[in-house]
Amino acid sequence: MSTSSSSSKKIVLKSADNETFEIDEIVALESQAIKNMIEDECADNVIPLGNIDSKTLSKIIEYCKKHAESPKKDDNADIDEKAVEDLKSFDAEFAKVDMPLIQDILMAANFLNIDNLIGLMCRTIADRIKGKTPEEIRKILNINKNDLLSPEQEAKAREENSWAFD
Amino acid sequence: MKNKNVMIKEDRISELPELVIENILLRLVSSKDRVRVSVLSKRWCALTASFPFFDFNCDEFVKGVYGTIYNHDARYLFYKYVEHSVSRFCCQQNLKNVHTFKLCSLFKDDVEVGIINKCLELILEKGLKVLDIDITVYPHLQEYRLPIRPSSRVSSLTSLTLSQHVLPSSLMVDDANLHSLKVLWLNKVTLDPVVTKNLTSSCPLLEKLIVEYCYGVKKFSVYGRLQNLKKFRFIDNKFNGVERIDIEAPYLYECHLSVRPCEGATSVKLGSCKQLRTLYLDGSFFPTSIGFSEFFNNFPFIENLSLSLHGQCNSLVVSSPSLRKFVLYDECDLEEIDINTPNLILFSYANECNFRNPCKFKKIDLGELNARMECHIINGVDSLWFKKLRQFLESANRFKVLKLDNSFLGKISVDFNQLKVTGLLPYELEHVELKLFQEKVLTVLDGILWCCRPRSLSLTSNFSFMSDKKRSHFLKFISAKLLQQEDKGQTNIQIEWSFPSNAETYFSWNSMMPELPDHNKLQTLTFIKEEGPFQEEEKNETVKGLQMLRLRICVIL
Repeated sequence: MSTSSSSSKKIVLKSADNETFEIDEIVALESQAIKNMIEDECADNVIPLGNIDSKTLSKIIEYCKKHAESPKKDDNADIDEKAVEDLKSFDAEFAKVDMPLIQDILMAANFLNIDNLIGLMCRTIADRIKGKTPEEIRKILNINKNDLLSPEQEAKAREENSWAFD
Repeated sequence: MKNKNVMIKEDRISELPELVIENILLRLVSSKDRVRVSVLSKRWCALTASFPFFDFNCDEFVKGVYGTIYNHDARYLFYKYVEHSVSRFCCQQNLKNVHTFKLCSLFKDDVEVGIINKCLELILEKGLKVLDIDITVYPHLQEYRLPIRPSSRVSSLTSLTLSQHVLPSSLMVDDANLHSLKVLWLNKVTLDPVVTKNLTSSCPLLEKLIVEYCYGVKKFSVYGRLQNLKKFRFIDNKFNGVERIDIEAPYLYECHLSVRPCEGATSVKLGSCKQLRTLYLDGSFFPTSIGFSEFFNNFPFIENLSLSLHGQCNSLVVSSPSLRKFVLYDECDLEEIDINTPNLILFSYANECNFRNPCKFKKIDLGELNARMECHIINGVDSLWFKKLRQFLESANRFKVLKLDNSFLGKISVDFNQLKVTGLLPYELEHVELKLFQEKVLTVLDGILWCCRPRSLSLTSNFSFMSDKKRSHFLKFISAKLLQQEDKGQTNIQIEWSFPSNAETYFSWNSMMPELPDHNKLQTLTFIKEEGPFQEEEKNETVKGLQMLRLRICVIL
């Protein structure tokens, strides 16, 4: 085993399809879940992420890298507007992916407990269902057909707030 | 292994934990969208029904439904919707605490008042954390008081925002039981000293206190120490004329006071606020400049200062080892400002105080060594002003970068001859930035180049209506002006065009008149005045002691 004792500590993540990603510890710490594992010293050299595929994981690492290197928001410190703008446009670009991948990222971000990324994905989903009819939203989100309200229930719900469905 | 090419993916959103779906719901701000997702499926229906964030905005609602904000039927629907949402929430089996209740509306009759009161009473029993109420009441109705009773469970509130109505009497008593409150925001609320005292002494954890445009405030004093207060903002109602502001908060970090003129100056005491970092003062606070100096000495860690001292101050001494940014909106003359601030990196100055909303202190992307002075010219400037600027730069002996902003159309009249007779040499600066209308560039440039000798100069202006010929002439003229400051025959001019947004150069050097990509976009024109930069070694041998001059001109096209 090689001792990678470079200036910064490395963490290796392994995806469901057995691809490994070596990242700086500081990047991994963006994930509260990994942070807890490291702090509790229950993280091995390689952290297996059995429910995240490599495509999703590489996206998530891209996000964490960018956010790890950006200055952290501090309520009392000066606002570095340039950095904030930069991060904003990164996030906007990052979210320009199809809905299945957004869902994958959201699931994984939730599992890894990356607060900002959960927020970004939720905002993206909200943006995409805004102003749409329930039928359109069901299609966009691929809502489980077995979980639909009964026709009577749905009719009643629509009746109660009929103004929202015109 | 997962097959990524599977087209039909299961409904995984709905399988996410409740908190994540609530996170999505939280971002659907329109009532219409929130109602629509409630019929998606059983899960979404249940989650929307027990969603503990209420945000009702009558204007948004009416506009969303009818496309216009004036519609009586829609207002009726709005109140029905509020009532329905709240009662549906309260019918849930696993009843949660309500996190947020926001309401922004207008009361036209007692029925509407009744509906909201009923909802609030229900909600206030549910461990509410954030309450934000902004209600306008029609004149024929009684003043509206929130139905907060002594028995109401307000002790869980962490944030309370009240706008445009009378405080409930239960909050005016000695102990209003707001033990968890961290944010208190009062807007256009009637206050008196006793209420203020009771209210603030009831909130030991208060971190942020905002009092804006409140009625009946002659004195604003917070008795006792607010040990946790970090931010305090007080903006006077235009009829008040506050006489006194008194705050005891040892950890206050940011303080913003804006008062209207009253008889005499407003007395302000922030004596115990030793930790203050940012201070905005707008109004007449100090009868003498000594008053300000004494006051200002209280803050050993102050970093940002924004001053708009009205009228009576005719000279100003700002002395602080910690101050880094100083914004001054004032009519007092530059020569009467004495700055003793060794760590200042930004001084921004506007020669008229009409800023109600002071600029935010942002991080500026400058080398720490390049202390910067910004002048925003609102009133006009003349030769005398430039003379004062020159003297100020020299006496401050700090600034390396000067920015002059005249986007407010202040009148500029400079008599170059009048300046020339003074015989003063231009003050050496690293960089000068000008932002003004193209018509004024030449006038100002005369004054600026009399005043200082910059190593570089950038100019932001509207060159959109200039013909190519005129522009060419203009560029040559400016180049010549800058060359005049240098030794003859040792300086060349290079020109670059770029977009100011990302400063990416798309054209460089020789041809003076490039094809401009898009006349509607902002563009940067960069003049680089160089002395043998290309073959440095060779030049070093032939011409000694040459310095490179960069001349940067941004053009708005």
